[in-house]
Amino acid sequence: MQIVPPYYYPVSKEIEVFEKCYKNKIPVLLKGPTGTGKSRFIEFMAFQLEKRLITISCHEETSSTDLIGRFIIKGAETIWLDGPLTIAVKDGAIIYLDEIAEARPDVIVAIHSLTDHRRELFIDKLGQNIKAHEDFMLVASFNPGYQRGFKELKPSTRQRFAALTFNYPVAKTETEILMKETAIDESIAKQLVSIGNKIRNLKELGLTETASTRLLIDAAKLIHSGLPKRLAVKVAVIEPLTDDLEIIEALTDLCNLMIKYSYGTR
Amino acid sequence: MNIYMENLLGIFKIKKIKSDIQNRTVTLENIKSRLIILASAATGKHIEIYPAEREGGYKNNNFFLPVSFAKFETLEQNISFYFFRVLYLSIQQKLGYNWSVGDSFTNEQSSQKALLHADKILEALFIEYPVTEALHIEFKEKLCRIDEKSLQDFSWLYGKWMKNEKEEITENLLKNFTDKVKSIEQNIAKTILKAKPVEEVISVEIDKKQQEDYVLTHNFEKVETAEEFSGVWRDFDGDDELEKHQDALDELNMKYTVRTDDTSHSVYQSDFVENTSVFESEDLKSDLFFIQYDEWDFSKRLYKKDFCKLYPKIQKKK
Repeated sequence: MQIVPPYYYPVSKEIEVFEKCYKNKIPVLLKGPTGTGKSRFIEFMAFQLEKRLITISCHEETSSTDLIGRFIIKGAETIWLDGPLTIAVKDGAIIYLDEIAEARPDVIVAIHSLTDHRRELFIDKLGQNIKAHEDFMLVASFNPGYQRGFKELKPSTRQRFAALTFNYPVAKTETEILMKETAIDESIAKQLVSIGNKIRNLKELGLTETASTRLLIDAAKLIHSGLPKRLAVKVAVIEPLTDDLEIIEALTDLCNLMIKYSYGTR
Repeated sequence: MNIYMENLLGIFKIKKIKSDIQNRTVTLENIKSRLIILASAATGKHIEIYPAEREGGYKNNNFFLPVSFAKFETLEQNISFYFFRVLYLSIQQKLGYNWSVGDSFTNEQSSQKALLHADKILEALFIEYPVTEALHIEFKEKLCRIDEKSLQDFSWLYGKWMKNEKEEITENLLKNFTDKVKSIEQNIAKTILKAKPVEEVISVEIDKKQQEDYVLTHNFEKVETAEEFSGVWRDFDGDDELEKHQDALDELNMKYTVRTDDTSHSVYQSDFVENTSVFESEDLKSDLFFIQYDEWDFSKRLYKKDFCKLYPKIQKKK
């Protein structure tokens, strides 16, 4: 079976930065809003570097036990089961902690010793210190706009990482991304990007997130597979953003004014 | 009997026309919040929308639109008219087609200027919002059909040029208010009446001494400001007589106002707050140190991000 490399469109020097960080064993923090390509970037880099990637989507119940490992009962005996972080440390994989700020504080404590010169993981339940494999790398992502002030990363944690900021690409780049990802016509891609940028103008609506590249790609995919344009934008871009009927109505107005009506598009 | 039937049919027809007009009328108040979102998305700026005296235009980040609109046959078309105007104004603002601060002009000149530059605005508008091209053709045809006389009058579509306000913000902005005004209002106004919209407010000064000397009579017939006109003063004994004078007040042009520290007993309200609220705007630029915080917008039920600026007292005079 042919392996298809993940598609990623570099917008700046992020590939070069990541490669140098990997070479120097410096953990990397990917910052930026949802849907700007953080996860895609790390998939792409793992593929480029030919390393195994283990992704953990952190949530408010994610604890250090979930990452490091736990004792489980198997038949009549109790056996130790390595968690994904321990596996990555031992095998030399890239571990990607998505939305690290969401995780419980003990996760942050557990990774501290892996992020400095020690590069070791202490497993308290076993009383063992494991030296990280030469190829091991820690990558985390964090969305500074999301839950701002509520779940911030502590400066002492942030300073353990080199950080790369991801944002919505400029219109020309975003159009190219849409075309490459979905094989959609340039004119439709341009229209979608223009709609995305207009929605991003609305900073005062109280939207926790705005129209991301991912949402635009979803809309493009729906259009490409035959869904009418106005409907595709409504279900893939507008509805996921908010439940406020007034805002939905206004954003629908905006999209309808930017997309020409054709048969069956309502 | 025939005459009776004809009269009855006539009355029925008039009632039907009235109800048709009512059904297709769009009032700005009802769709204002939708239009604000649309305008803000289109321009990338925080746009406020105000009722216009007629066709309207824009001034800085304020768009002026007709109070209500029912010229076209259906409600949808009349709503689309507002959408068209908002997008048209967003392009006009982007291209900067408006009178400058120092310019002087008449209403006629303002409409002519708008008509003269319409083609350039429409060209950009159709590129950015392709749907507006069909709307423009449709609206233009309908306006021609409605009235022969209005054949050349497309001011509803192209508006008029207005004058951008000079955004001059100094620490003296509150100088016209006394401590009495700044303190909490004890007496709440009992009567609130809506006035005709205005597109500009000019504050005029009053002669306090003359006001005090004035013998108690009042006459609103030809008054241009509510406070004083040609030596005739309003009654300032504090009685709430606003409703009695409503008809006379409708003749007033609320463009000219007087700032006063008298307690309000009734409110004659015009939908205009543009250049009276600028001192608390987020647009205030300063090199001095300040802390920003959000402001609750009651009407939109949203926080305006970093709208308020808090300055340390020590640097206020710098």
